[in-house]
Amino acid sequence: MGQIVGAFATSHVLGAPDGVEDQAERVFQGMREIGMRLRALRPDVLVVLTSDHLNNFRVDRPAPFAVATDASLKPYGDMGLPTDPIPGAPEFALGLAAFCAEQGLRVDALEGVRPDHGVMIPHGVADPQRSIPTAVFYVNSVLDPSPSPEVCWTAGALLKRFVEQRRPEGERVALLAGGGLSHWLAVPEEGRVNEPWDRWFMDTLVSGHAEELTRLTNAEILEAAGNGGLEVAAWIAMAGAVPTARGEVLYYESLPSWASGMGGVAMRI
Amino acid sequence: MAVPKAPALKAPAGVHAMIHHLIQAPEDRRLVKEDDEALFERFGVPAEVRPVLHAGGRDDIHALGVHPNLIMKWLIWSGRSTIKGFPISYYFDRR
Repeated sequence: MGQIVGAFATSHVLGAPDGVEDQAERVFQGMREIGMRLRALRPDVLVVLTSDHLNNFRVDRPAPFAVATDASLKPYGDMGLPTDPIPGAPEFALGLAAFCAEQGLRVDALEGVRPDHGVMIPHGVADPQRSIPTAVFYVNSVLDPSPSPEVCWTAGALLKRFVEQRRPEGERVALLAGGGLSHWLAVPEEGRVNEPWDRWFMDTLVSGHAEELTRLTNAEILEAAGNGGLEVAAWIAMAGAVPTARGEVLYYESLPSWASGMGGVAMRI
Repeated sequence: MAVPKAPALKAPAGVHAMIHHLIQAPEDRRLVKEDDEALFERFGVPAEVRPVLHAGGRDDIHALGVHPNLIMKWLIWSGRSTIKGFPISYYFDRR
């Protein structure tokens, strides 16, 4: 059996440092800390859980969950991000999709995915050398229907079972969720950040009782954390894979000029 | 960057298809600034919403029912982004 050796979550964007240099640096150093801890675990496979931003999916073709199946993934290159390819993990990704299907959860398996910043900012900081085989596990909160927190938790639980039941003996798997925290983008409320909600969400996630977050509805998240806040679905899926783990908040900054609450956590496995 | 449910269902004809095309065809993005009428014609965008897409702000386009993620792309390509740009190298050179 394989083993989940690490689980982390972080906001998956960076913004202009102008005027917020100190906060920007704390965010970046928080992301770097996550990257250093993740690499120290020497994972054989890195699973990045995040939402796409309609660069690989269409509004008229919903895919709440999906995996990228190519052996080499060429980034989309939005935000000026480097487009050098990263190694995929096709056997892992296809196996995960098949296992989830057996258990009643549809996970689309896609060729030709070009990961956008939702993957490539957290991945780029966690694995600058682009050496860790990476399974991109999309938890798409930009499409209708967006998966509920309860379903995301179930997806994480299936990921855990897949690693433990179907992966080779001794395989080390690290999880890195991306997205959130509260943000409203391309809507009139853009620039609003709900820091109390962000802190409550992260505190609950690392409390050892993260399953409480499955009581949330997407309507409640949308109201409290904005359309971008729905991206915490990926964090909840990550927590579902390490259901009783406690953790720690590594950074948090409220950054209205980035239109986002920025945070990151590490779970203790 | 997620999405409320309703806007994706009520966007004007052709707008989502047009922006999805531009996501996959970066060579056509110059048309957003240089000849957006050609795009509107090609994708059958209704005449009454064209002025909003051409010169309207974020909230005007949102009021049309366009998906927020697609609004962001349209505004970036048309030079009207509401989010300030920056070189990613500011961070990535120090990883």
